[in-house]
Amino acid sequence: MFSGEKLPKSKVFLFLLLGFIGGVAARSFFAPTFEAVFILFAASAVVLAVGILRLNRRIIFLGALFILFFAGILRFSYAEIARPDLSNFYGKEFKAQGIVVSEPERSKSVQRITIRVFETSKKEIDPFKLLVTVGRYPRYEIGNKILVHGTIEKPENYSEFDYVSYLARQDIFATLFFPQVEKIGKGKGNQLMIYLARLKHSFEKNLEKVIPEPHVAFLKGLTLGERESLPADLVENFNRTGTTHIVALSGYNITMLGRFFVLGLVLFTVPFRVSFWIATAGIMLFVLLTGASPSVVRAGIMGILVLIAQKEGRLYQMTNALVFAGAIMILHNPKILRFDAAFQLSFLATLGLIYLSPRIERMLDGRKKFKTADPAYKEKPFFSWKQTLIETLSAQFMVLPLLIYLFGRVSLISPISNIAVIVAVPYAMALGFVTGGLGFLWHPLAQISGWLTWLILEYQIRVIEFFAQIPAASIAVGKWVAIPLVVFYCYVAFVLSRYIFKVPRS
Amino acid sequence: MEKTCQNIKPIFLAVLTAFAVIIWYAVFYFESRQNLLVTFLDVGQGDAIFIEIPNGNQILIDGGPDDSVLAKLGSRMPFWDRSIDLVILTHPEKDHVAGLVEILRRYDVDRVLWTGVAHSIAEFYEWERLLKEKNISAIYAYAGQHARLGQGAFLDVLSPSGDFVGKSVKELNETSVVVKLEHGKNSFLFTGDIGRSTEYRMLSESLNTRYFILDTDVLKVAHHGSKYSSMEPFLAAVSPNIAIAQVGRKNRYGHPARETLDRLAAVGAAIFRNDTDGDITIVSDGLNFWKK
Repeated sequence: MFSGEKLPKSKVFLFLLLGFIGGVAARSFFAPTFEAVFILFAASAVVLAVGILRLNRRIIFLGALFILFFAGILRFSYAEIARPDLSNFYGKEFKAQGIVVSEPERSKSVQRITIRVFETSKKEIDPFKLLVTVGRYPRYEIGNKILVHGTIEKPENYSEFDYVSYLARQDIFATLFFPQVEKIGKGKGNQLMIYLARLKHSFEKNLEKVIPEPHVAFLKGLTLGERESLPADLVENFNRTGTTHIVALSGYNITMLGRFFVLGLVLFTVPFRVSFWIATAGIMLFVLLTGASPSVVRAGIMGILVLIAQKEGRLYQMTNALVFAGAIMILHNPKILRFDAAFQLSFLATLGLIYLSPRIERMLDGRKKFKTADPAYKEKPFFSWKQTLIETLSAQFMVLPLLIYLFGRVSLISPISNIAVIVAVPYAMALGFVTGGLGFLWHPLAQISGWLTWLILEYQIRVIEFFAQIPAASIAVGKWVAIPLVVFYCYVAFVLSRYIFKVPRS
Repeated sequence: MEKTCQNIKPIFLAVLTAFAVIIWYAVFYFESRQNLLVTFLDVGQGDAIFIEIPNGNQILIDGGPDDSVLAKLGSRMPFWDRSIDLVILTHPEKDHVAGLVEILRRYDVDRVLWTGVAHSIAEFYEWERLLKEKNISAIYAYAGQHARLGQGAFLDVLSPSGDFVGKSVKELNETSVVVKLEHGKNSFLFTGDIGRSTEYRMLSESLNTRYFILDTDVLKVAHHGSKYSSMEPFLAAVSPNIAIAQVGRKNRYGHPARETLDRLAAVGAAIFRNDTDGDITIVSDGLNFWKK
């Protein structure tokens, strides 16, 4: 790779990004002493300086690569240092004032609200985030100013779940259980977020009025990624059939949504060039509507990338775009790389959609050349089963080792159950949005559209129930199974990389 | 334009097909509805009972400790049905009122039967607020009230016999609304969380005044089978064939109590409980009744 030829610019860019990500990755697992990092950092600066003096591109490149690697390390370290020192608070009783900064998570018996505390015991302090668990009622909303009275605790891991890292990823290092709460104000903080939260809330209300449970809980999962109110038996069925991801607003869901936009417009003979941009705008609007939480923003970006990949079909450029998007996300929050399963799954699934699915398609079609854009849009007016099958398989294939590592079990029927359920996902999502939107206009219209939505959701729930009943639908395996799989994937990736990194000569 | 029409055709067909499916679903639903159904919903440690009368009237007694009741109702009611004719709140403790809050919010509740008694929990404040906000007509329960439900079904209020509207009460359980449902020859008694003092009072009223008869076929065991309810004389008067205890799995109160189960067995009742049997439906055709 580093042979005599000059490295093309696009590749230089790619390797620098990978250098940064590598740095964050390394620091996620090891914590070197500050001196060691500093010495190595200085050494790479010297390499860079030498390169510049000698005007040797390759040495400059090497120096820059090392610098970015250490930048990655520093970025992660900074995120670690930036955590507030709350040792004075743990285990003590406080009266604290704060503002609700994100939409509370509501389960069927409690609400978990994240507040930004700026005052304790009538003294102003450096603000920190506090996760407060309270009863189901009264409901709190983003922007509420509340006074809590209780004992602030340091989060601890439960038996299987790394709760501390889960919270740390959201910059939460303190919790408070069932304090006395008093609401003392509302509408504080970011007004756009408050407005969006209200919009989302009314949208949910519209759905709840016309569609019964558990269908509406499922629909809220599909359209807004809300899965707190799903009944436990349905969640168990999702897990058994390997379909949980469809209620998690992954990049995959959003790609589906984008494609539905495109398909819908193609029906009205809008050319793909135009409909693609409308789809992108639609995705952005959607991300805003869901409250623009970082995980949904990430999913939105990945969804748009897949759409672009299908539009352009130039994979070598996609690599850069994908890695660049990943690097930006990691720069924003370096902890997601190791600690956020949703990010990892979403990224892997996106890899599968972009690199694997066109390959499988070509294999099935027996065509020799990659096409420039997905013909599914142009030739078939409706969803092609084959397309769904291919995409589901490629996404599933990529996330398999991680799923085994995370949950220690494999859903044997997951490819089949996924295809059976996912074919209906875009319709359910689209009808869900139409129903929620009509609810703002005229209730009876929303009701009619709600019936159609119900029918599709009923189909999906029945299918999931059916597949979950099959004995040995999901079997437990040792987590070690993930290792040989990863080795195998690395080998495949290496073989493929010859294609991915190959720049066509013009 | 022509192309657009062509493209829209399959969608149009799909929508029509969907409506056909929905209409047939409705036809079969109405055809299948012949008997009165009383379902004791498995909502964890709390009460929730759904009564369906063949003419389409629906009654919900209590809502359980959380929102589980929503999914339970969703699977029992046809999907187009967004209304409940009568909601009965026996008394506003969390394990009875919590689930009703979301019911009031999402369903068109025609009227509510409760005592009006005051309580100081967040769920109760929400309940009161929603009754007012949605302008739902409330009937305050009083022993002696009688309602015709249609198709030979009647509802009688047996307790309380005092006025509790707006009052704070020490023994909230004893204010529970007790109702008896009669359908032809079959009867059901719903006792809320009453304790022995209300049992003895009802027993003496029934013996002295003969306004009502306690003898019942199906009994909802009072207070989740607590040992301070379901006393022998009361059970002897009720003499249920079927007794149902609404209890959650591994609840921290140890409900239902061993003693209560023994007392129920002594009067010859077949005992069913939500923690082991899940949702329990009793079917009545007016002559016979059976567990589904």
